[in-house]
Amino acid sequence: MERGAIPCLIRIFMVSQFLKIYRTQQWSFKTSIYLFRNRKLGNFISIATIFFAILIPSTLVVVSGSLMNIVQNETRPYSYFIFKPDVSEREIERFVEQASELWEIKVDVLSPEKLRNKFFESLGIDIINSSLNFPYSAQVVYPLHITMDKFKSHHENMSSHEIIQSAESNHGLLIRARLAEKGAIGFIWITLLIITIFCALVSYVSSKNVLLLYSEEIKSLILSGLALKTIRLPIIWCGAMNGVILGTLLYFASVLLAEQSSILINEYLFFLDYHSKNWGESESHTLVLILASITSYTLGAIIASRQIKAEILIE
Amino acid sequence: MRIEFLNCSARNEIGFTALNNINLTLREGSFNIISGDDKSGKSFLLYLARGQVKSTEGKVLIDKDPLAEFSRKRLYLHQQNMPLLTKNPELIGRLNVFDNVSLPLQIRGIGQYEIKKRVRNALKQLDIRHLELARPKNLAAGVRQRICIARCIALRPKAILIDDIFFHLNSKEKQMVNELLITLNLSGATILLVTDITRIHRIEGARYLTLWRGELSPA
Repeated sequence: MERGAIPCLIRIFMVSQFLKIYRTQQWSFKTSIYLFRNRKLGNFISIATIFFAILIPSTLVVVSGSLMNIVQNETRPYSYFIFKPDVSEREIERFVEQASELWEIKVDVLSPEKLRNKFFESLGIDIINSSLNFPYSAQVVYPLHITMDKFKSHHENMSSHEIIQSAESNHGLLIRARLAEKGAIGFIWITLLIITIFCALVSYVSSKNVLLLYSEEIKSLILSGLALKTIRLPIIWCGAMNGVILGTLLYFASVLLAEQSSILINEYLFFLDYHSKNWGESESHTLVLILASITSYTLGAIIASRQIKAEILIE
Repeated sequence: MRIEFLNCSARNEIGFTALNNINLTLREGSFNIISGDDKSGKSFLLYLARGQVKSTEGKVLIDKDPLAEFSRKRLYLHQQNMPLLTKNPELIGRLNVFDNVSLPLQIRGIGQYEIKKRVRNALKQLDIRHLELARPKNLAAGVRQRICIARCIALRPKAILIDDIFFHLNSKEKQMVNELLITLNLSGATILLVTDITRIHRIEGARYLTLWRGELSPA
């Protein structure tokens, strides 16, 4: 046999197998389209689902809107220290060295003049006639990834230094902000989970409705000796088709709403980032969202299709 | 196909007996007619042969293999080889006559050319070739029954189960179907026909039995 003959035979075999699958599945594809077109109650429920599903991005917009201020403005942990009035520059240098030796900490020391200028600038008052005396102060900015425990212990450690008169940090505020952020993310995922279950339920109800439309055929197909799994296929295809359409609609509805306020949404929920125009990443995220919809709808349809049973009762 | 019922009994939950100790052997290529009155268990016997119901006692052997031990795949194959014709013609309303007849063949993955040949031949035998593109819902019950028979013939089955199909047929159609069944039987198909005692009719070479309250006796 020639060298090229075997791959050629394999190709012919594969094509013939593909054609056979196409021939056997042709009926189920056609039937699923027929069922999809004719299921009036199912389509009505599905439209209602779209409206319900739009609630996700709307909720997210509301939740993220209130969180944005805290998360955006208070992201970096920092401490503020005011030194005692009689402290020397040498002591301050030692304090800075001690503070900086831990992690990636940035320490800015403000001289009394600088602090005085800043203070009056912020108040909008002329400083020439002021007789107020300001002490030395330092602002310590911590890295973003620092844990709250480390931040707190470092702040307390530095505050107990003998040259420090008073100290403040945004530790409490950050704890509250991070808790709120976690709560919001949890809320988002729970909402998504509820929506997924709801979609599966809608699919189940509408597939059960389709069974009524399909019952005449089921009887005929069972008498023709078809396997129940073959008879179930059109219902499952129909559910999957519904999932594709609703997933796509849900996605575009979400995008339209997420366009308004979207950092959290884009970050956590894979929606398209219109502002960054990052199409490459968003394509895979779109796929995830649509796949989730298809899965929940197909699952509902599979459960409903399991209700098809060939039972004959003894009268 | 050889079908054997060995000591088969069937009862429902409240104790009603549909079949009582049935012992019956249908030899390969035999023509069997069972008559009985309403609720005598005729249809149940057919469902039992197809493996669609299980007997509470006894067993059914298909070509000497117990039907209860068939794998799911083999059971579906068995049911495809043993089509059931019922009193009410079960057809798919949205498909035309040709598609209705060809559907079981399509699902089996038979080639288009072979499907066309078999379907047109079956329709011709039942004198409904001209109705190929018609929708079943617009046709008379007798014609719909003939379509069901054509669907059955196109499958080239090893055995045919018939449940009182003559109810909707006129005398001319009955004659045509009788001749067709005899031809099928002569070509090797085992036939089991159950009918109401009032509609029994003579078919040459057939074996006659009577089912009375779940018990079988020679006619």
